[in-house]
Amino acid sequence: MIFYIWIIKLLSVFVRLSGLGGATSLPGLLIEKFFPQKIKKLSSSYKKIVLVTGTNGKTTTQRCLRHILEIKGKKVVSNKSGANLLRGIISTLIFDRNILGKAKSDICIFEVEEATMPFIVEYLDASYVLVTNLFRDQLDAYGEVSKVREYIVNAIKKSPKAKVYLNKDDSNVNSISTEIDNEVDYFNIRDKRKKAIFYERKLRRKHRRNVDIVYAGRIKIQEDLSTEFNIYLNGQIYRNVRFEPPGLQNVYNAVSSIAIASDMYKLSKSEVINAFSTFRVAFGRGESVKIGKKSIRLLLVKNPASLTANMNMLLCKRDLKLMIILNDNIADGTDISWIWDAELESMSKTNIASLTISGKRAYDLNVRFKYAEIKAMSKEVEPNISRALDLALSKLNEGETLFILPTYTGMLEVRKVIGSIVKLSKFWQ
Amino acid sequence: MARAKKIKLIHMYPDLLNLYGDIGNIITLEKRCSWRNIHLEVNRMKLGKSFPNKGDIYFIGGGQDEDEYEVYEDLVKHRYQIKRLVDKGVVFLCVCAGFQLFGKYFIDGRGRKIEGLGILDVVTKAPNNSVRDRCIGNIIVNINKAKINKKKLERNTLVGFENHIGQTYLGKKVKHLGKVISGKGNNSEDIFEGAVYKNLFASYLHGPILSKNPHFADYLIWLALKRKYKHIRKLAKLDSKEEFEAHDFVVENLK
Repeated sequence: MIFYIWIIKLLSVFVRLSGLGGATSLPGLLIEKFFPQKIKKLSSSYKKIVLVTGTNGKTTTQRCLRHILEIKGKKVVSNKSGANLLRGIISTLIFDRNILGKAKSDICIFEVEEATMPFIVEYLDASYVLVTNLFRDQLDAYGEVSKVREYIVNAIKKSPKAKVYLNKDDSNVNSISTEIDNEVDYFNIRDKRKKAIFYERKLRRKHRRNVDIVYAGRIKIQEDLSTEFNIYLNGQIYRNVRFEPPGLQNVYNAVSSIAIASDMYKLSKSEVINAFSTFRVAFGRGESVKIGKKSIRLLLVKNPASLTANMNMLLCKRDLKLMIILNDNIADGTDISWIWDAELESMSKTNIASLTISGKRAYDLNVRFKYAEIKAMSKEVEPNISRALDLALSKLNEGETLFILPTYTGMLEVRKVIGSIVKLSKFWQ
Repeated sequence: MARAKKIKLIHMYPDLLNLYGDIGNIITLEKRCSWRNIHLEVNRMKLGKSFPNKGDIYFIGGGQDEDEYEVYEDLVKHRYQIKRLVDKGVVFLCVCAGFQLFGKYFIDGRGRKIEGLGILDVVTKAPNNSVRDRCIGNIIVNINKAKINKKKLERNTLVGFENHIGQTYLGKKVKHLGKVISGKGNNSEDIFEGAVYKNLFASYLHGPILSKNPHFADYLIWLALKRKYKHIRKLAKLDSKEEFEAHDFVVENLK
């Protein structure tokens, strides 16, 4: 075992030094291909293994849970930067070994791509499975919502010891409880504004009787889009929790991560408040960058649900300066029809101060906005991301913020352009 | 000013067949009518309800497999009413699953044979787990001008995104909607895309098909208006710069 770990570590150092990339997935690819029997061994030494899956919110939830556990003094390993396929997860396990081949951490938290769930449970014995939500995503890659749901149900069935956390507000997630024998807990938010989240239509009608529900209420969305809310958990109330990730959709991620963390360890009120207030957003998930006296805020959009949620959140802002990037590379989903599934029609009365549309499929997005009748005082359509960013920034006054909604590869590209102006943290770190 | 014209659109099973952005077809028709001061009334047809037979345009889209079976059971109950409307020349647009359901039969991945409405002379077979035949990607087709009979069509192409495993084959009583320039079309063997029978247009194109092809959307609106208001000559022209920019981008860059 130590032998494999050494070889792979050396190889990754080489790849990283040679500037080929973050090498987040390469070692996993090698192990998966040549020594699949070693994977189970790699994972068996951990106290707890948490799998986070679902369409949206995986990264923020995984990072938030990790942060809470670290505040509690635990050693945690988790996969990063969207390395959420089998090989990325295996790589993470390898990097968590010291030169003697011993695991450095006590707890593993993995965000897992939905279609990878059935494979990953063959190699890991999960203690917790968390399902964030089920939206139509990259339909060309993973198939339909019902299929994705089936992957998750089958994976949970193969993990009988796992305690399962389900989003009670998403009926297709909630109803998973009727098909499994695992112990189940629910989380949700109590707020009228969640209507605007447009969960998918119910596929199945039955629900298991809900026992324990962890939820957030009294949610306030601040000027900088961060939130403040109360968490209600096992008869305890944590009041006025402050949370940086923007908008209502991220409150779910806060609630679900505290639910699991408090199932693992007893947490004091001050630990909870402190953990949330010191949590910082992930790469591209609301991260802010300063360029001189102007700011940029990056909000990843992956599918109709995240486009709808982010647009809803931003259009409340006066003098909104907005840039949207639509690419159709494999990581974005090659079928861009999904932009028509976003509920933009209700936004037709709002007026955007400046709108810049960019990315390989900028023209398609422009048509979508035309039909949603979203008005912009000034509008530019420029497929080239670098030129588009220049245009968008030129419309910005000092002290103002440009909100950028990019698809995945659009985000990598725009970050690169921003990175050539100011220093950004590398995403695999 | 003349009284605003009215046409009625029936969206068939929107609660179940609503994948791949096909709602964009309805949005496109609604807006292109309203921008011309034509009132388009949209009725949503539901499972288990009586068939709304007063429509001027009927649209049926793509869905998840399990929903298709549910729709199918309801749809066959209305077979004769639908056939009568199609024969009278009412406008139908059937996309993806809708295309397959209007055919003679469909053999699914497990070998089950499902009788279709039998209105279109086409058959569909899903190969067993065969990835080879999966038709997925951007697609460009040359419009069959014999079937889209309009003197001035702003473009001769239709563009979209196809994503289907079912392989559809045309019989003698239908014609193709277009010939594939780039992409797969009805199946991975011949060069045809879609099917036309009277004023029923069937296609595998998402994108959505009407949003990316405003000339085709206008053609359907024109056909529906012409049936209802006999004196109609042509549609008011709309500025479609943005739509054709998106269309031309696909034609020029995504072959």
